[in-house]
Amino acid sequence: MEKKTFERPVIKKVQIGMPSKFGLKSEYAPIKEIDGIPVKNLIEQYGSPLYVISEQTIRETYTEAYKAFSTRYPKVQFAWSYKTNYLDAVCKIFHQEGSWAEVVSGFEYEKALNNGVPGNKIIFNGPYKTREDLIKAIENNSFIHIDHYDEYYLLIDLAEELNIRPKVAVRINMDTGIYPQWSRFGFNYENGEAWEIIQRILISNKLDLVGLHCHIGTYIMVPWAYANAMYKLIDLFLGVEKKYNKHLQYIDIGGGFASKNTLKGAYLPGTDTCPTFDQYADAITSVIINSSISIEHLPVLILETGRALIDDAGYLLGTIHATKRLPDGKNSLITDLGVNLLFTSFWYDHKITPAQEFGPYTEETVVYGPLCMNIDVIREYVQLPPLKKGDHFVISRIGAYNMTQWMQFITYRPNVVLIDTNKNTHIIRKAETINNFNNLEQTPEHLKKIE
Amino acid sequence: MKQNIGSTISDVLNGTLLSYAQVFFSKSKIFSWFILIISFTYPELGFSGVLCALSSLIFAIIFGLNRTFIRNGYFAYNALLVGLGIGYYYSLNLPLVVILILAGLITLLVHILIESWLSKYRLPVLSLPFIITLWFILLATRQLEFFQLSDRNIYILNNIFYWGGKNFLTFYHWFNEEFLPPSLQYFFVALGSIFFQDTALAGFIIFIGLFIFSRISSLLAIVGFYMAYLFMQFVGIQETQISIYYVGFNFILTSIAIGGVFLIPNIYSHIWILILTPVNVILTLAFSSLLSTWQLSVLSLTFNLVVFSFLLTIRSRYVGNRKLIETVYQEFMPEKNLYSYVSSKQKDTHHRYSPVLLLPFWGEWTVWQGYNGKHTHKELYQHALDFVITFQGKTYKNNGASLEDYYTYNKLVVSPGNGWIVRIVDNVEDNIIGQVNTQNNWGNSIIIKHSEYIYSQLSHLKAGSFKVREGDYVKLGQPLAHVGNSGRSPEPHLHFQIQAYPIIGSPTIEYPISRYVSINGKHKKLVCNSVPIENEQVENIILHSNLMQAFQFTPGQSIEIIQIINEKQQVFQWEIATDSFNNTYIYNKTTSSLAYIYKNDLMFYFTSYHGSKKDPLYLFYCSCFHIEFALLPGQVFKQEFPLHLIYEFYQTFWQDNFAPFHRIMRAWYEMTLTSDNQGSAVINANMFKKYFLKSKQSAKMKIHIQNQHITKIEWHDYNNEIILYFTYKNKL
Repeated sequence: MEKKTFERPVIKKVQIGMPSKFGLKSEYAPIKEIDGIPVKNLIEQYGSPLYVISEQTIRETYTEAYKAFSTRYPKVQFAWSYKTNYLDAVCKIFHQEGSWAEVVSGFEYEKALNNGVPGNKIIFNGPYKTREDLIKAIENNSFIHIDHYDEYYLLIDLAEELNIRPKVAVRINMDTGIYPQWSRFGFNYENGEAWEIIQRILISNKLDLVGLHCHIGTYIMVPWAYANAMYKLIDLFLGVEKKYNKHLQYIDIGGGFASKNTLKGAYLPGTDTCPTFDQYADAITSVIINSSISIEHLPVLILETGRALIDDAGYLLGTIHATKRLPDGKNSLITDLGVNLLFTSFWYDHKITPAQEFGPYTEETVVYGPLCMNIDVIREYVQLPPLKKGDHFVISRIGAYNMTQWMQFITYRPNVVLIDTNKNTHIIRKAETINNFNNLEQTPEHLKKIE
Repeated sequence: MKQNIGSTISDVLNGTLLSYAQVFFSKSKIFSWFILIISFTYPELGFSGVLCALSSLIFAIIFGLNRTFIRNGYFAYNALLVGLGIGYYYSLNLPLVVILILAGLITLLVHILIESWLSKYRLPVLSLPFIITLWFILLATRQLEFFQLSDRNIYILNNIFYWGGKNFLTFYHWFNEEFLPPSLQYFFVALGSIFFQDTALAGFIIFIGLFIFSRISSLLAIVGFYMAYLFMQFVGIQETQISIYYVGFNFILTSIAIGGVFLIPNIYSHIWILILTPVNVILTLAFSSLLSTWQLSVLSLTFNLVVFSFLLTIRSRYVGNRKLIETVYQEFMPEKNLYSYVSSKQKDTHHRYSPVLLLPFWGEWTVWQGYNGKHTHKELYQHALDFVITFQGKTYKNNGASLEDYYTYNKLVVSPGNGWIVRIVDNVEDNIIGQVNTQNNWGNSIIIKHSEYIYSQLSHLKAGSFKVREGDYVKLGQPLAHVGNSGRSPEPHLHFQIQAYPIIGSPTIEYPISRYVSINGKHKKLVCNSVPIENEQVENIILHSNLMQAFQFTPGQSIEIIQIINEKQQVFQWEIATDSFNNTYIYNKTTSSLAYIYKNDLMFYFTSYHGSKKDPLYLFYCSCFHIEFALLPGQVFKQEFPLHLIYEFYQTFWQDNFAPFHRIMRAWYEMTLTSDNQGSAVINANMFKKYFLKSKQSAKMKIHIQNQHITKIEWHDYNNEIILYFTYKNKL
């Protein structure tokens, strides 16, 4: 018989009031393993903290999303949003599943090419594309989504210079009835700017206009906002058909689907409030199907959703470094992972789950990171069972943005491990060492000696 | 005007020549020359034939009948036979010349009369006009005194001596009496008597012509004759009678017509020859007695009757089979018919006559209940399919208590084919999960008429979700309604069936899905003309619109082709045109070669090619022989070439002898879609040849498509590297 774990006693104030007389349910199960591999073993083998990515979850989530759209619309194409997670292994799983690449910088563009994505399956978005980036994209026959007039003028120049007709789409922003309205990217629909740029492209004929693009925001919790966006895009699409007798090839509705994380300040958990892929798909495709676009000229529907496809597949494993009682009586934990590794903790109340068995009693806890900075707080308030030094815990749903927006600040960035569908583990990004930094830094001769 | 007269004369002469081969369902000029020369062994006889055929064609020109039929001898072969017949019975003099000219006219009139009667039954006229006209001429002229019965048969040996001297006479005797066994002698006489020749030598020479023209026909001629011969011996008919009545050729012609021309030559067509020939013998004997009352010969009457009745019987079959196959496109040579058929067997040419039907939805679904299902697809309703969407093996998420939990619920249903909406029922509420509505068994349903007797019915739809109205014309893939849970439906699913009548709940008929994708785990496969089975994961095809556009050739359009062989450049002008049967073809104006093409929603292919094998159009024919629009990336699509268009005549010569039973040579085409993205695509194609067990790749082709046009074709074989560049003059 296994020895029972000792848990120190807890003094807990009886809580009365909302949401019910029993308080929020605190019994939940520990996460002892990920895809069948014990957390303990993972940390023993690869160290702590540790990022873990589940290939199984990525593929399942992708299939679920693809099915939601492909059973409602005949021409669906996903394009993997590189900025969400551009670890090569992750990108390649999406490319294997059939995704194109959606990039927003020369760096990401190079990454996509290195990953073997053919140039004509790369969508180049974003407000900052340099002349060199554009030349490369034009020569590789990629789709360039125009963000502003200066980019349009540059493209016209390059088209003449290279004697190639670049394939372009127009990024459009609009009021979809939600707040905030993203108006800084692309051309506005309501003030007529969008229609004007479309006309200019078609009249000049130097660029090959193939599609329309919008990206209405991020973490959109109401599917009807996409429906509103689609109405406006289709209005432009039909306008082009009617006036120029040209059938555009695709409509790119962008991304922004919410994952199941809970936003700070949200009243109910994200798992209960965020729409499903089916709800988004229904809203988006119904508008196209019911529009007057004829069946032969239905455009390809491109989706650049990133967060909703990868968030669930990422885990961050950590270890309690110390426990500390704060002057106000609150319990606090000092862990080995901080905001440097968990950038998203600035806007999510991340779910923290111990990796070993625990009892039914919880107490109010603050979770700190290892940084010697006051802002390094992972959770300001969370109900956790009493944990002790050396205990492991798992932060779930961290696949999106953390592995791109992480910082090498005060500590090194740890290993990233992928668990494949046969339950084998692979390091897909090695932990940093002092050498990584020494390689890049150069010290002038007169500073080499400090004596 | 001059040109018109020139072409008219050439048409008439051409028609007269080809009329000889037409008797054997052939359009071979070489074969025609063989017979023509033989017919002039008696110059008067030969002249009578030519005169009557010419007369018939000139009258056809005066009437302004179809030029093609004039040019290929179709309006002349009956007149030719009538002319030979008259020349056989009477000696030539001026009144006979007049009679021959009139006989040409009468034959033409009778031909048109009979054709307008038989064409309703899609039957060929065969030699019926010849029989009727010759009978009437004989009945009419018998009493006329200035017609003298010909006496040339009596002096045949004189003639032979006159032509070739003593040696030839000796040879003739030796050949007829000693060299040939009696049965073979009868065979050649029978063959020669088609053209009113009465010597075995003439028949022998015609046989050589027939053998050069078609090995299959010559084998059939032997099979038909010998079966009759053996049967006659079996029932005790004097073997000499065969030649006395001059009826032996009936068996030969019947054998060729049924065994190789109107049916695809195969083992079964040969077996039927063995069965039909004795029937033919009995009919021949019967008609001989009957007609002897009027002192008329049977001529080829029984050949006509047997072929007509057999063809009609074949077409009245309630259950079609793949054993006896009618020739759809007549190429006037059994070998070509056979090789084209072998090639088109895969090519599902039936789409030219019956509608294309696809799955009525988008994305990946599962067959919940297939044909002959264990729940409701039984007896009259056995050929129906039920579909649901599953995810990780389940049809629902959460606990499956509400309709919204089901993946299938509210999904779009699209039209499986082009057609008219003939019926919509839209007033049945959805059931709650687990309950069924047997009052309104089919629930909300829609019926689409795709063609006569082909209707599709889709049922258990959601009330109020219809996007079309009764009377609308819908296109393939057009959204119709959403899936509901109405009628006899315990949980949301889509019922799909094909039926012969526009009434909801009509009995089902078996009808294949033209193309769908079958999914097995990660593996996807394009399936052609099949019905998915229970639990199969299926997905609707996605058509590559680039390919569809690139292979859209519109009549009137012209293409300039630049061919580069070893840095040598040559320019050709191609034109797209259409013939009077509305078949589209590509015509190479520079070299006069042409290729027939066909395109529908699913594929583009070449039906035939006529011209030199060194022509750029021939390269195009080989490299784009069959293009599938729904091909999955990386998947290989195979297609048999018609052998006669790949191999030279002499290469298939020996195989032809046994080709109906077994073929040792093959040639096939393979295509893969290497890339396809927003207007540009690359197709890799290969040509393989197989002889006995040895197969090798004989050419490698690469087709480049840009901006939805074919821009370049690269051709590599062991001798050449050829590049074709396409420039479009007026593409619509």
